[in-house]
Amino acid sequence: MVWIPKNCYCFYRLIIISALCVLNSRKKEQQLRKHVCLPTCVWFASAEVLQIQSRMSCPAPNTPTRTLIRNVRPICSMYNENTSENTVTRNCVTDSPNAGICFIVPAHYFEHKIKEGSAEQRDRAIYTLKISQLIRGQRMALSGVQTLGLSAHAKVRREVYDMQNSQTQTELPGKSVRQEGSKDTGDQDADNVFNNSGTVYKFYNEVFKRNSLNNRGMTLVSSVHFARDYDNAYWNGRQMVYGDGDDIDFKKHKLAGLLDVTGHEMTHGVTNFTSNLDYVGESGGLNESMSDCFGVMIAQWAANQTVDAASWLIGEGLMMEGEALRSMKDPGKAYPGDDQIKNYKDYRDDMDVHTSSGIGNYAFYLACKNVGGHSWEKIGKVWYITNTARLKHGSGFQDAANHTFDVAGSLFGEGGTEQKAVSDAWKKTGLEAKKPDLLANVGPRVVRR
Amino acid sequence: MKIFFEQSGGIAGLSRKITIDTNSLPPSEVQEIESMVNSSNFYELPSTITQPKSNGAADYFKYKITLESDNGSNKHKVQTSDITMPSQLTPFIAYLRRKAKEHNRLSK
Ligand SMILES: [Zn+2]
Repeated sequence: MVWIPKNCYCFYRLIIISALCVLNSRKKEQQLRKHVCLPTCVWFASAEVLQIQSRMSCPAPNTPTRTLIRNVRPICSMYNENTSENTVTRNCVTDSPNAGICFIVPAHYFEHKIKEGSAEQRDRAIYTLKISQLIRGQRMALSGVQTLGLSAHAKVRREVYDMQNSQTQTELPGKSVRQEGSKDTGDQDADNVFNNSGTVYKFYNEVFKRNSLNNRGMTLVSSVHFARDYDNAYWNGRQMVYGDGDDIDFKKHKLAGLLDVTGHEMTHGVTNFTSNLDYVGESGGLNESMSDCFGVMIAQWAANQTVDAASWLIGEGLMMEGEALRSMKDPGKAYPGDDQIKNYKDYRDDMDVHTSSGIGNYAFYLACKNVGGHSWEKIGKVWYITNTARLKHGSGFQDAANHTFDVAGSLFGEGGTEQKAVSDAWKKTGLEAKKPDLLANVGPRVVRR
Repeated sequence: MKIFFEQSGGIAGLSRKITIDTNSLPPSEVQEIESMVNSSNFYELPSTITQPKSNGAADYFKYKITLESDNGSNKHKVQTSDITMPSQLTPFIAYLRRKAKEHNRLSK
């Protein structure tokens, strides 16, 4: 009997499917996948297993990629962007010119591609090298790569660094000031970020059973005092970075001190490891909105607030002028000059992603209000599953409406009050939630990046 | 020389712009700018140093810098971000950020 993680029967099914696929002809394989591997199974597979593949390879559409699963012969899949179909084949050569790049390919291959390859090959190679260094690196080790199963001992691991006002990207994360088990530093920003990232970890772990940003126990790395008088906090694809503020536009020490800001940034990390929504256009607005929805939810969870008691503000008290960065209850009304939109008819492609995010924010707020109680208990779950297991990199607001509608039906009953709460909410943002085409979603999630 | 600088994006999605005419600056500051332009190899930098749309990063500032000589004969524009900015460009961007902050508040 092989080892099977208790909590993931889809993983079990995937192993069986993979084993059967290896034993059967290509045609048979496709039939098997069609019949045995239901879409749900594929999503679970993408969330729990294939996520690792996606971190290791960076395939372009119409190129084969390899799925690496321990003890199972690699499966190759070819994703066709036009038909949204994933074809499974038995044999694949990873370093053929058209192949997706895998982690197991030696580093000199990438170095060659960086020097000699086309612009696209170069980008992919740089990206993959970065990821493999990240996987190999001590600090950022993706602990799940070896075991695939969820860690039985989910435990937060935090590291806080001080950039000492440097803005140089290569100096990140900076000077180590605090890690798990060490005492307060006395630096307000470093200690706040340390505590807040712990609360965010706890939220994702207790509410959604998620073990850190990558669901594999990844260390939470944060740097404070980035640049001088820097009015911003960001996620750079590997870690959280916080500026000091300047008391001109943003109050000092607020960026590092607000739980919803840390929740917002860390959710960019979760999104990065799951739907990986592009940071441009509609998917960028949706990516931003996910960060606001979970940021606000985390603050409400920590304060044990109901949807009626909550302020629904993001970055409250951060700005020198104005109430907050964003209002989810009243998008566009957070500060003088706020132009955030809340209806899809006002969407334009050239908008900043923090402007169009109002559509998703408002839908989330309304759905939570329609249901009542605690945001994280029902609608929060719907949004979590949608972001981590349904959306793909190019998804837009209509996809979000359709999938949240569908997930609400699966979780709480088709045609139930929760599902109606979701569709009523999206209707007020100008979108009609429909049953999504589930098969259309399978391919891109499997071969993402 | 004229310098156009714009910072946009960030967690708030706000921008700040400034146009600097170096003829209006004290000579010591002009010298400082020239040395930053030279040490960053500004005119040899590619015009877009930005990341692919799907590298997962979010909320970083985006920067646009254009330098134009007085007679308009020499003009170069560089677009970059907090994440993709080459190290040698950091001091120049830090200077421009400070300059823009002295003159303009963040706005939409
Ligand atoms: Zn954001």
